[in-house]
Order: sequence, then structure tokens, then C-alpha cells
Amino acid sequence: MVDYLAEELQKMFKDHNYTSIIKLAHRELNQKMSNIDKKNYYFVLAKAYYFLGENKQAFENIKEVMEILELHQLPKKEVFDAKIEYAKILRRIGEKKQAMEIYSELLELHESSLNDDTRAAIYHNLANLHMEQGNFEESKKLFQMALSIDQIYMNEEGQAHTYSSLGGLHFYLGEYDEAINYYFKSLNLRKQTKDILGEATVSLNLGSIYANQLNEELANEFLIKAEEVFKEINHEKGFHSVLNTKARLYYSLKNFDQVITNLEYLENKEAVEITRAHIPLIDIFAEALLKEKQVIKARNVIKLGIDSIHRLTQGKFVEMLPDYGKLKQMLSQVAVIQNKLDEALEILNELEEIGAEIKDKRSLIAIYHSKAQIYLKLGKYEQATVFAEQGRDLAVKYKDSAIAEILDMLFEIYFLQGDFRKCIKVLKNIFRYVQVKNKQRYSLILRTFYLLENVKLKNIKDEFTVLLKFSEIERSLYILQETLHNILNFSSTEKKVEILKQMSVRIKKDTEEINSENEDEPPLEEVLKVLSLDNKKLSELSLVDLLTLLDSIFFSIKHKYISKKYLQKIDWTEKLPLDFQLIIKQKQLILIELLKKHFNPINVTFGNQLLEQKFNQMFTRMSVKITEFQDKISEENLLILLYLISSIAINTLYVIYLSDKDEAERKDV
Amino acid sequence: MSRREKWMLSPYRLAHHPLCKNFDDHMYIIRGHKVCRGCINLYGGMIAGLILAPIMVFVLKVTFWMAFVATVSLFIFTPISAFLEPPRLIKDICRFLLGIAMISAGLSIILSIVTLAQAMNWWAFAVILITLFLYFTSRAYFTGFRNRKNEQVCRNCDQFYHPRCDGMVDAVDRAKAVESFNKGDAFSEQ
Repeated sequence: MVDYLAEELQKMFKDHNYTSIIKLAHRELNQKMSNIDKKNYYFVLAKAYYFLGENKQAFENIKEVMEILELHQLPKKEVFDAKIEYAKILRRIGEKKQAMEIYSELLELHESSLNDDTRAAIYHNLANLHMEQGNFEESKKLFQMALSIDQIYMNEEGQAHTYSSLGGLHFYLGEYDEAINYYFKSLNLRKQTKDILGEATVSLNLGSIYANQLNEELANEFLIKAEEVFKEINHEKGFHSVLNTKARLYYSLKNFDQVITNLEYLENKEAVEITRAHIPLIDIFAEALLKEKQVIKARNVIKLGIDSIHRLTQGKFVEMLPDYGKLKQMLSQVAVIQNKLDEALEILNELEEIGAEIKDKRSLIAIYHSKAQIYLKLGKYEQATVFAEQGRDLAVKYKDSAIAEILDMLFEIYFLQGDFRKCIKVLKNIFRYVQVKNKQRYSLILRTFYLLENVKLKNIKDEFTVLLKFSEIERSLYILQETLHNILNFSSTEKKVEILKQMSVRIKKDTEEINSENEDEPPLEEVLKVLSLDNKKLSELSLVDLLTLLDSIFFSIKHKYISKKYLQKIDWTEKLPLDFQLIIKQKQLILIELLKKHFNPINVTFGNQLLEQKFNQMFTRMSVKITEFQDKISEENLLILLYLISSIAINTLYVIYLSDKDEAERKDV
Repeated sequence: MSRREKWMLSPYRLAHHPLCKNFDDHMYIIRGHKVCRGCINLYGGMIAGLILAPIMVFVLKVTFWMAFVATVSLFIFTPISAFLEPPRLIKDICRFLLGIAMISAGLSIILSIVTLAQAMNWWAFAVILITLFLYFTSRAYFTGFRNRKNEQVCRNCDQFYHPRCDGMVDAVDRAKAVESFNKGDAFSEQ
């Protein structure tokens, strides 16, 4: 090779200008030259393609080099360099055994002829191969050997590589702190040696670690650095690796919008370009599209994934069954959204057969869940019940996280069938699987259903057809409103009294249960006393705590108390025995404070006019009805009504609070 | 899946519980490693049982009846400790006794088989059936019972929905590491 050209190439390598190197080498190869020069250009090409991660082209060029080497007697150093490059490329294309043989042969047959740089490089690359095969101890030993040689000869480049690899080794062992430590050592050395590609690679790996730790800020910091460099040197593979890492991070953080942004490049890929490594990315891309309701795009991406699996496995998709199943399942979801229920059922039947054959219980849970959903949508409650119950049984057995959702659906099915007893059973089960903060909500709904079950109000089932889905928490509010509405408007006084009597029994039982549950907690009176005296403490309570407190107040005072603010005409404190008056007054004060502070309908329902109307209508109606009732029914029955009203009030507040919270979260996003 | 991968993906390893403060009293720390307290006590009891067994058979000449009565008497502490929630030390002792009870159960089955072989004693047959029934049903029930109790601790924890909660962070990191290893993108070659 002509000297000036060699120098230029070296400079280009240093500047990571691989595309230009490739162009230049190809141009030169078209000219007439000696075999030795040809070998040099092929070698240069192999190296450039290797750096760009284009392994196929790298392999083709290094093979040319090896063929020329066989025909000529060349200096040993050149032969060793070519062999090391050959082994590196072999590793990349999966021929690890052959790569290992080359390194072992170099160490065994030529150890005395190898200089220290080359020996260190061989140790390093051999360590990489061991690491890839999971022989971490052997790998660590070899890395340490390479590192000590490089440290003796002050080979900073070599040390930087080995620190990176040691970082990788600890990364793969899940020892992130040590990995980060090694990566930073490598990063510093790479900055010193101005190895920008190395810097980008280490930054990418650091970004990957922080992404695994779900540390969005640090992950982004390093990934953006890597992205900039990869873009600058036109390194497509590196650039895509950054996007993939970002997408995985955002997928874990459930930020599906960002997943889509980072994986959009997959849409432009032809089916033939899709490799096995792309399939998991297609999975998360399709899922993100589905979550973001981009159904048509999702269908296209899923189709791309399924076609690619068929192509990659040559029809034997069983090899990639988890990915195939996931994509098919998503396709069924797309079909459901597009109202193509027959297509969805067909896909699910296929998956059910596969799942049963390979005994993949977790997949079967998801399949039964989806089938139940479809039958529910079709109004075929019996089939929906069968599949939901099958899904529930498996989910309980295998502790699958879908259990809460399946129970939720079963509740909906039983509810639509008017089987409140089963609803209560399901609610109790859901209660077991939900977290504390949701327990308050479920306990309210559970209490509502106890009422429904006990007063045998099954005949009002038809009135509930307008109810929203269970997942929308307003349902419990509607049920209570309707219950109250029914009680207040029953024409027969006897019927009214009968219902109220039954409620009285239920309330007493509920009170006993609640009291026995809260044995460890300080009495409510004490809590209230503290809060009524300390306004600051009251304002420091979280909204959920406030609502819970409010619920307790309503619940405990159901016999004697109502808020002055909304039912001003009734002052229950006058009717109370002296012993109770103080506590009731305290409760009144706190309640009014709470309502003023957090639930002033004008403020709270800002931007939510429907709820504002609902809130006002409800209290106006209750106020009127209760006032009408005051003179006509016994005090005991009136108190039972107050109990119902209190439940409605607290549920309304929950609805308002949660709707506002959702609204605020949506605005934040 | 290789043994190494299984070990990497094993969520709690020898601790058998999440490694957070909520489960501190379920673990011993041995040379910096958290190890399941219940299992240590159980295995301790089993070792004690194995030492006592030959003495019972060859020195004290116990019959299958005696071994069966010993099994039931030692086992009875398990439901008591499960339902009454006594202090941890008492629980430890109960686990230790359960270990002895398990060896005693094995012994009563062996002695029953020997008795059955020597003379057709139907009581020996009944003891075998009762012991096996007791072992399998109680194992299934109490494992489920303990799992549910531990699960409730997690469900009531603020970090329950946190993907890297304090108790699982090591396990999650290791699982992610295996994923990264399988992707193989953290290599650097010289």
C-alpha cells in the first residue's frame, strides 16, 4: 500500500470515518495491484465493516484476506493481526467455537512469537468468548491477565477495552455498582485516547444499566451522548441500539408514547430485514401502539412480526412460540377493538390449542381472559362465565397478576346476571388482591352490595342498565343513588318500613364488624379531637386519608349526624343525648372544614361539569326528600336514611376526588 | 435453562422471602447472606431427629405406635404457631419440632412397614395411611397459608406496584442482567 494512503486510512480510522474508508478501499480495489496490497485493502474493509457492525460484509472481506495469506509468506505480526480480526468476526457471526480455536492455537503454537500487545488482545477476546458462554470466572481471570499486561506497557487503549469488558461482565452478573465503576474507568481512558466510538459504546452500556435500574434521568443522559456520536459517525447499528434501549426503558416505565417514538424506525424495515433480535422489539412496539389506540398501525406491525417469525423459522414458529403467541394475542385484541369478534375468536381458539398442547398455563390464563371478554361483549354471559371462571382458577393456582382483572370481569358478568350474592363473593376475593389504598374503595362497594343483597332489591336490576362499567368507579355511586331513590320513592309505606328494618339489622352488623376491625387504632373520637384542635394537622392529611376519615365519620355518625352545610334545616345535635353532643359537634366542625377545604363543588369540579351537576342535584334532592320525611317517619328510620346518604356522599367525594386526580394526571402528561 | 441462569433468576435464593425490612424477622444473616430462618430451624430439627432416630429404634425399642404418637405430639405445635402468632422465638422452636416430627413420621412409616411385613397388623397399615395423609394435607395447607400471609405483607406495602421494590431489587436486577446477557450487547473487543 502506498504510504500516503496508509496514513490517510489511519487518520480516517482515528476519526471513525468508516463510510469513507469503505468507499476509498473499494475504489482502490478496482485498480490493478499486487496480492499483498489487495490483502491490505480487504483487511481495512473487514475492520471498517466490523466497526459498523455489518458483520456479513466484514466476514466476506476477512475471508479474502485469509485466502491471500495462505498463498503468501507474510511477516508474523501481519498474520497474527489478520487471524485475530478473523476470530473477532467469527464470534460476531456466531462461530464461537472456531474463534476460540484460533485464539487457542495462537497462544499454544506461537506464544513465544507473540508480542505483549497481541497477547493481551488475545486474552481479552478469549475472555469475551468465555463470558458469552457464561464462564464468568474463567473470563474474569483472562481479563485480569490482559489488564495486567496492558498496565505494564501503559497501553491505555487496551486498558479501556478491558475495563469495558469487565463492566460488561459485572453487568451480566447483575452487579451494577461494580459494572458502573469499571465503565467509568473505561470512559475516562477513552476520553484521554479520544476514542469517540468507544466513548459512545461505553455511554450506551452505562445507559443500559441505568435503564435496567429504571433511572430515567441518568439513562437518558448517557443514551443521548451515545446517540449523538453514533449519528455523527453514521453508525446505524449503534444508533438503533440506543433507540432500542430507550424504548425498553420507556416500556418499563409504561410511557408508551415514547416507546412508539423510539421504535418508529421498525415500520420502515422490510420483512426480509427483520432479524430474531428485532422480534421482541416488535412485541413492545405493537403493545405500545395498542395502548395508544393506534390500531391500524398496530395491526401492520403485528403482521410484520408474525410474517417475520414465519420467515425466520421457516414455518416452524414453535421455535419462537412466546413471541408468536404474544403477537397473535395482540392481533386478537386489535380484532376486538375493530369489532371483528369472529376473527378474534378464531385467533384465540388457535392459541388455546397451542397453549393446551405445550401446557403453557400462563398463556391459557390470558386466552381465557380474552375469550371471556369477547363473549361478554357478545352478550353471551354463560360462555363468558365459563371462560372467566377457568381463567380465575388458573390465575389463583399460578398466582398470575391477571387475577384482579379477571375477578373484576367476573364481577361485571355476575352483576349483569343480577347475581349479587356472587358479586359479593367476587368483591371479597378482589379485596384480597388489591392494595391498601384501593381497599377503601372496594370496602365501600362491598358495603353497597351487602345492602343490595340484604334488601333484596334485585328487581331494580333493570334500572341499572345505564350504569357505567365497573372499572369506572362511578358505578357504586349510581347504585347508591338508585337505592336511595327507590327507598325515597316507594309508594307503599309498608315496603319502605320493611326495607328500612332490614337495613337497620345490616347497619348494626356492619358497625360491629368495623369496630372489631379497628381495635388497634385510636378511637375515632380521639382522632377527631386532635384534628379539630389542630388545623395544620388537618391540612397535612392526604386526600385519601381525608376521604377515609370522612367515611369513618359518616359511618360512625350514621345515627346522629349530618353536615350542616347541605342539610341546614336539620340539627341533629339537639336531639342527641348529652354524652354524644360534644363528639358530634367536633365531627360537624371537621366535616365542614373538610368540605370547605377540599370539596367545595365550585372549585373541585372545575372542568368537570357533569360531576358538578351530579353533586348539586344529588344533595338538593336528598335535602328536599329528607325534609319531607322528617315529620312522617320514625327517627330510627330517618337515621337509616342518613346512613345511606352518608354513603352516597362519601362515594361522591371519592368520585370527584378520583376524577379530578385523573384529570390532573392527564393534564400533567 | 442452565444452572447458572436458574441461580441468576432465582428470586430470593436462600432467603425464601423478599429481602426487605418487612421480612427481616424471617431471616438469619450468615456471613452476610440472608438465609431463611424457618428452613434453618426446620433442617436443624431434622438433623436432631436423624440423631435421635437410631436411639429410639435400637436403644429405646419404640414401636410404630410410639413413633406415631410422637409425630402427632410434635406436629401439633405447627398449627398452634401458625394460627396464634406467638413471638418469633416460640415460632423457631415450633419449626425445630416440626423438623423432628418429619423424621418421626418417616420412622413411624418404616416401623409400620416392618410390622406389616412381620405380622398382618392392620393398625400399622392405618398408621401409614394417616401419617401420609397428615403429611401431604398439612404441607399443602400450611404452605398455602404461609404464602398467603406473606403475600398480604407485600400487598399492604407501599412499594407493591414498584417494579424495583426494596425486597426484590436484587432479583429484578439479576433478571434484567440475564436479559441483557442474552441480548449480548455489552461486549467490547480489542
